[in-house]
Amino acid sequence: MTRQAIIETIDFRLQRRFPKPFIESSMDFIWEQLCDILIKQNDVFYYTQKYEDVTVTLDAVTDRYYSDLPATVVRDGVVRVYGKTSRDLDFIQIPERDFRLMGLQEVYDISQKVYFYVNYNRVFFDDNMTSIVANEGVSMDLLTTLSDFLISADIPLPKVNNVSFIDAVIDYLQGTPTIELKDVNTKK
Amino acid sequence: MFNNGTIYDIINTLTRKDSSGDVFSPEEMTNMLVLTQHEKDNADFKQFEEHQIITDALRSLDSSSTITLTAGVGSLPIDYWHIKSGGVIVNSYSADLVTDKEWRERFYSHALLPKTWCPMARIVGTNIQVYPTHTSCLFEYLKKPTDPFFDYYYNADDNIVYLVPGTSHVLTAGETYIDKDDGTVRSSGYIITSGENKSVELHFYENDRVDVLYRILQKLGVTLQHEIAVQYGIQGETKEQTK
Repeated sequence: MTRQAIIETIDFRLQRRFPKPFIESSMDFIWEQLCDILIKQNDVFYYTQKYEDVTVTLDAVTDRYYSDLPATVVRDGVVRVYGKTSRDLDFIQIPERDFRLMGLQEVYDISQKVYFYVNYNRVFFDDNMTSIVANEGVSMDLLTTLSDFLISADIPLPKVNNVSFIDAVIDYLQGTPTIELKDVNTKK
Repeated sequence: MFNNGTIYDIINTLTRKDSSGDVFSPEEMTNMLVLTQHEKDNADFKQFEEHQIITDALRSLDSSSTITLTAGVGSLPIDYWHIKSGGVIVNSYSADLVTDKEWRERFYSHALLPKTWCPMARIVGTNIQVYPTHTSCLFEYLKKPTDPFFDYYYNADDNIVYLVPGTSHVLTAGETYIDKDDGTVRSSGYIITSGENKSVELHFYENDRVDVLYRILQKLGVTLQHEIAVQYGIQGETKEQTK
């Protein structure tokens, strides 16, 4: 189903009680909650969007490579990072605290692994990131917010604990008071 | 064909039978047609408001126009009468037609702010306003009905003959035509062109024109059952076809 079709389905099911942007923001909210569960269940790849040619920039001050996220992601939504052509390097996500601790160690991991951490909308890479890979850019599998999908994009609908995404949104909205939506030309 | 001429003939026949004996003039006929068409349009539109279904009676008023927008605002078509529900399409998406109050609520809200795929529209005076802005919008509406007009000439027997819209006529001996704009009297040999002919039919389909006849008769104090009026109309039509 496309995102628009989902919005319209919910709109019909709720007998047009809400403006569509409100349904959309409610869907975003439920989506993030379900994604949180899916991440814990390690079952997120199906719901990710792939972004290629993400620019890698070298910060001249800290001498550290970083990439700005090409989309708004849910919490822990950077699911996978990999080189554009070379798969020699493994990209491994670690918490920022570990990243910083690791940099303080006398013995440093010089294997083909690039550790990275995510800080809000930016990904920081460790010193194993090479200029060759950086120049090519990286690819990312991201679990984005739902509104980041195009309105015409087909959405993989998650089902968590036997509750479908659409039903979860409807349940959430059922308890919300109706928002006036008066078409001035449809007097009933 | 059940046109203004048919209605006029039937009315005259029936009113002559009336005790008053008055003859219904063509000018009165035009006035009556205009008045009755307005009445019927308003009644039909009332029904449309309730059911949002364009009935055959309103079908001929069904219209659409692409409006150019500047900063989200554009002028309504000159012949705009009423909007149809869901009648504003912006960038291929149907816009929510909202009241001023709802416009403000949505415009200043983060949760309700319209997006490209669910725009909103409102009518402000003679303009339409759309958000999010776009270069144009498709506007579906009911256009103002054109006022009917009964144009005619006198034949050699001084009888009134209705000019069917869009037709021309060459006046023969004894025939007279009075120009309805400036009152000039035209006689034998003159060609009443289709452009000069000012007749305008009721915008209804023929079946609904019987309704107009019935309403006019009511105004004239002739009580006639609807079925009889219909029957009379059909008879007249059959007679015309067999000529």
